[in-house]
Amino acid sequence: MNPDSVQSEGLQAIAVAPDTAALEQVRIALLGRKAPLVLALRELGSLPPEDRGPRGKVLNQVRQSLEAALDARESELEAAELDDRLRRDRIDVTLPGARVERGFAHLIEQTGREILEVLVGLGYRISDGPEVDTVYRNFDALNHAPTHPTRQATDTYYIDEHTVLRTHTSPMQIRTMQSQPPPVYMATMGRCYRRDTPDATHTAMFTQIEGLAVDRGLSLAHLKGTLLAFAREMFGADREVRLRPHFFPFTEPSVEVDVSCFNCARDGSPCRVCKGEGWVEVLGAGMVDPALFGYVEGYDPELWTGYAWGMGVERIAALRHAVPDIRWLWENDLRLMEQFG
Amino acid sequence: MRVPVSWLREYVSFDMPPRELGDLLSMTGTKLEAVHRIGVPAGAELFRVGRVLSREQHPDADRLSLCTVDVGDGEPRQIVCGATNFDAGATVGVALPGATLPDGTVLRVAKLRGVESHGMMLSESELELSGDHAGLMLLEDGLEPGTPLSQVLPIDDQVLEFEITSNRPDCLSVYGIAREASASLDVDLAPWPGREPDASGDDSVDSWVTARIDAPDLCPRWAARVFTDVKVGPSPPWLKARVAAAGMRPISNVVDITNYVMLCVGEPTHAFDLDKVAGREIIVRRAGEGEGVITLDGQGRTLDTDVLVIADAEKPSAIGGLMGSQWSEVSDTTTTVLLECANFDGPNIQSSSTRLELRTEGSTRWEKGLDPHLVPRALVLASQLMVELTGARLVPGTVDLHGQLPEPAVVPLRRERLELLIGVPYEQAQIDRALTRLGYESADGGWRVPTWRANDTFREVDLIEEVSRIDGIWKVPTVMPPHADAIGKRDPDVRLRNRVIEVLLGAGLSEAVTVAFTDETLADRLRLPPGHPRRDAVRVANPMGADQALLRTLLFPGLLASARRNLDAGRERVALFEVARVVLPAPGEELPHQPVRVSGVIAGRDAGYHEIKGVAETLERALRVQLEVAASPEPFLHPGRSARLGAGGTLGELHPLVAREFGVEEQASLFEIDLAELETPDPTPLYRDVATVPPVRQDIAVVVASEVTAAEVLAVIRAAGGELLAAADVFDTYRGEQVGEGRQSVAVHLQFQAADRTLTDAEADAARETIVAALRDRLGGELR
Ligand SMILES: [Zn+2]
Repeated sequence: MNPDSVQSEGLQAIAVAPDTAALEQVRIALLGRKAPLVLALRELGSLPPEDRGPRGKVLNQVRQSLEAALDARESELEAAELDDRLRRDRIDVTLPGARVERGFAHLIEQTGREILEVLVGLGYRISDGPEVDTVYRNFDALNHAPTHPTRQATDTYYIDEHTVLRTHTSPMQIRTMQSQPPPVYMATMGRCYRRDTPDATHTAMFTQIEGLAVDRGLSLAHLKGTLLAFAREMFGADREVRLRPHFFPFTEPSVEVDVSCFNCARDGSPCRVCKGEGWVEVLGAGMVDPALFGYVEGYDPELWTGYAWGMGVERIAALRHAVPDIRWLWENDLRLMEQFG
Repeated sequence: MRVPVSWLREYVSFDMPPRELGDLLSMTGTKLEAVHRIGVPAGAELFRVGRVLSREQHPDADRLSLCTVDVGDGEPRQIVCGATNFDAGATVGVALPGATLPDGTVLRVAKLRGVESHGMMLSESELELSGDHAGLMLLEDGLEPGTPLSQVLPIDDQVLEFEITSNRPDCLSVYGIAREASASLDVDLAPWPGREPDASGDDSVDSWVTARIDAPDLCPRWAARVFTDVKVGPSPPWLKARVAAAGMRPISNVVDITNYVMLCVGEPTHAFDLDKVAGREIIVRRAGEGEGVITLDGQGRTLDTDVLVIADAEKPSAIGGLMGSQWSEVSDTTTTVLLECANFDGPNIQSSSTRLELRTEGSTRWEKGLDPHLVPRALVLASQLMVELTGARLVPGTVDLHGQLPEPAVVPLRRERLELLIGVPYEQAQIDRALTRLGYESADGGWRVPTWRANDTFREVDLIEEVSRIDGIWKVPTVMPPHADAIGKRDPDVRLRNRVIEVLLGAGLSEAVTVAFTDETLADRLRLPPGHPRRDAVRVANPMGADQALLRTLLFPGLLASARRNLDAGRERVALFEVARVVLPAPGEELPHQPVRVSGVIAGRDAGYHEIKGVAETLERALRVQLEVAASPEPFLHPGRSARLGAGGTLGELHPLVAREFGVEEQASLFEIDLAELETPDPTPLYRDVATVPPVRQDIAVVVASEVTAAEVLAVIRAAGGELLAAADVFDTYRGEQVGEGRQSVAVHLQFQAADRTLTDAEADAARETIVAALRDRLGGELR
C-alpha cells in the first residue's frame, strides 16, 4: 500500500463526493475497518521496531489529513443541503395568517371609556347609577320648575308619576351629594332616555357622561380649565374651548361649550364638521345652582361652589370618527365596529 | 325667534353686519341659529318709490294702461301697467330696468303692444311681501318719489333667527332681542314701542262691555279696549312685510296688528268682534266639563274644567291664550272690536295646550310665563295701530281686571361673590352697566329686577349670571382646580365591569349595545309559560310604540337580534356580548332592581354548549371566581344542554323553537349572569409556589354510569384527594362498546403537590388509591 497514493486518491474522492451520503461511503472506504490504511495501521505491530516509527508517522499523517478533509467536506455538504432544504421550504409569505378570533369594542363604549380615562387622570371618581330613577332626583332636586317642558309625558318616559327613565345622567349629581360630604369630584357614564323620534343625531336611548365637582372656591375658570384639558385629550393638543351662555335648570350660570374645530384649519374654508364656524358644540355645563345644595345635607352654598357638565357620548364619537348617523351605532354591525377596533 | 334686522334697528342702532351682531348675541346668551336674506337678491337701489303722474288707456290694449311715473329722475318715465286699482297721484313701488325681482326675473325695457315700458310698478306678490297679486301695492302718499324702496319696505333685509331658551320668553319679541343687543353692544335702547292715541266720544268702555274674572288662578289679569268704526281690510305693505319676515302670514289689518304686537313686545293679544259677543259680556272662567267650542282653525273641540275660556253670556268665545272661536271671529264686516290683552297662568296653558293638542305662537309664549305688567304696554301699541291703520275710534277707558300683581324683587349682589364664581375680576362700573342695560334698577339693598325677568331672576346667583353673560364669560381664563385631596379612581363595580369587558373582548366576543325596551310578545317568543317569574317586567307608562311597552329583564334577546343581522350580512359565526342593566320589578321599594348583567351570545358555526361554556369558564378563570354549573332547564334553552351558572345565571344552547323564532336556526348558545356574581372573593391573592416544589401528575380513567356528571366525579375526587390534591380536571369522556351499555369513561388529570416538600411516588400513589377507592364506593366507578 502506497500512503501517498492513498492520500491523493482519498482527497480526490472526498472532494468530489456529491452529498453527505456519498461522503459517508467515502469515509468507510478510506477509514472503515477494512480500509487499506486502517489495515496497514493495524499491521504496524508486526513490523520490525526500527520500521514502526517512520512508517507509523507517515500513516498517521495520511489518516489525519483524510479525517480533516472528510470533516471539512461534511460541513460544506451539510450547509449546502440545509440551504437547499430551506429553499424548498419557501412559502408565499403574503398569504394570510392563521386567524385568531378577537372581539371588537363598541364605538360608543370605547369612546366613553376613553373619556372616563381622561377624567380619572383629572382626579375624578367614576361611579355608576340606575337608569330608572325618581322624578325627585331627575327633575325636582335638579331645580326643574314644575312646568319645565322636559317633564311632560311627551318628552320623558314615565314608569309611574314618581318614577322615570332618567332623561340625563344628572340624577347622579344628587345621588353622589346625598351619599357623601364635599369635596366631590365625580364622573359617571350611562344610558339615558328621551321620547325623541330617532334621526341622524337623536335616539330614544342614548349615552351621557356627566361630571360634578364641588369644592371650596371653585369657579367657572376651573370648569373651563378642566374642559380644556378634556378637549385636548380627546380632540388634539391644539384645541381651545369657548364658553357661550345658555340655560339649564340645574346650573347657574350655564354655558354651552364649543371646541375649536379639529377638522379644519380655521381659515374659513368650508368644513363638514363645523360648517365653517371654526367651533363645534360638544357639551353643556355650568356652575352648580345653589338650589341643588338645598336638596342635600352638608353643602352650604356660602362655603362650597361647584360645576357640572354633561355630554353625549354618541355625539363625541360621531364627531371624532365622522359617523354621519348615530342610529347606525346601535345596529351592532360588525362591519362597522371592526373599523374602530 | 325670527328678527328682521330693519325692525330691530328701530330700537337699537349698530354699524356691524347683522351676522356679527348675531354672533355677539350668541356669546351673550341669545344663540344665533341662522341668518336669512329676504327681499330682492341684489341691486336694491333699482327699486324706488314712484308717483303716478298720469294714467291713460293703452292705444292697442284694453287691459293695459299707459302711465307716466316720477321716480325722482327729474324726467318722468313711461311705464305700461296691467293693474287697475290706482289713479294718477298714487304712490307706488317701481322696479327700474336692470332690477332683479325676488323670483330671479331680470327686468328689461320692454315693448308692450308697441309701447315701451321703462320699468314696472310692483304688486305685493312680485316683491314676495304677500300673496296679493290683485293689484298694485299702494304706498303712503307722503313718500318722496325717488326714495329707495328699501327705506320704506324690508325688500333688502336680513332676518336673524335666534334660539330662545325656555327661561327667556321676554326674548320671544323683537324689542326683547333689541334689549339684549343694547346690553351686549353697550348702546342705548329706544323707549317701549307704542304711543297712546287719543280716545274720543262721550261713551266709555263700560257702556260697551262688562267683564269679570271667575278664575283668577288661571288668569291673573284681563284687560281690554273697545274700538268702533273699524274698517277691516288688508294691512299696509310695511306691516305685512314685517309680520311675514318674522314668520307669520298676513291676514287682515286687525289680525296682523295683534300678531305684530306679539312679535314686537312679546304679549299675545286677541281681537273679538264685539257685536258677536253675546250680551257684550265677558266671563273669564273654567270651561264646563264637556263644553264645546269651534276654534278659528275650524276644529270642534271638547273642553274640560281645567281649560280656561273667555266666555260671553252664552258660550266660550275663545280658549284663553290658545285660540279664538269662530263665533266671535273678526271678519270683513266687523266694525266693533274688543281687543284683549291678558295674562294667563303658564302651567295651565301648557297642560291645556298639550291636552288639546293645540300649539300656537301664543301658547308657546304663555306656557313659559309672561309678565303681567306687559299688559298696558301692549295695549298702547295695539291701540295706536288700530287707530292709525283701521281708522277706528278708540272708546275712552280700559277694562283692566287684576288682583295684587307681584312687586319687583330687590336682589343683593356681592362683587366678591361674582368674582369667585366667574373667576374674573370686576369693576363696579362693569356690573352697573350690564345690569342697567338689561333693565335692572339700582335700589336700596341691591338691584330691582325688571318685571319681565321676575320668573327667572330672584337670587344673587341669577344676577351673577346676568352680569357674567353680558360681560365676562368670554374672558374667563382656564385654570385647573386645586383639588389636592381628590384621587382619580373607578368604583369597584366600574372596575369589575371594565375587567369583564376586557376578558370577553380577548375571548373573541364583540361588544354590543342594544335597546332597553322590549315588547309584550317577547315572553311568548321565549316560551315562558304563564306565571313564569321572568314574565314579570316593569311597564313604561307612555311608550312611543308597542316595541317600547316594557323594560328588558334579559339582555340576550337583543344580542340574538344583532347576531341575526350580522349572519344576514354574510358572517358564518357571530359572537357578541353586552354589559348593561336590566330592570326587575321590586314592589314596595322606591325603585325597581336594576342589576348590571353580562350576557354573551354565539350564533352560526361552532356555537354549541361547549363553546359558550368555554367563554364562561374564561371569565371564571380571569376573574378568579368559581361558578357552580348544574343542569337546570330554562324554557328558552335546550332542555338537555342548559345549566344554571352560579347562583342566578344561565347558560346553554338556545331551544330550537326559540332559535327559529329569532331566525338563528344555525345554532346559538348564550350565557347571562349578574355582574355581581363575578366579583372575586379574594381580590388580592397571595403568592403560591409553583417552581421549587414540582407537582406529581397522574391520570386516571374511571368508568361510571352515564347519568353521573363530570361535576359529581370531580366532587368525589376533590373530597377524597385531601390536601395533597392540588388540581383535578376532566380531559376526556368516552361512551361506547369498550365500557358497555349505560356506562361512560371519565378521564381526569390529577396533580398532587405539597407546599413544603417534593412528594415521593409512594405518597402520591397512596393519595391516588384513596381517590380510586372513593370513586368505587361512592359512584361504583371502576378504573379502566
Ligand atoms: Zn371645521
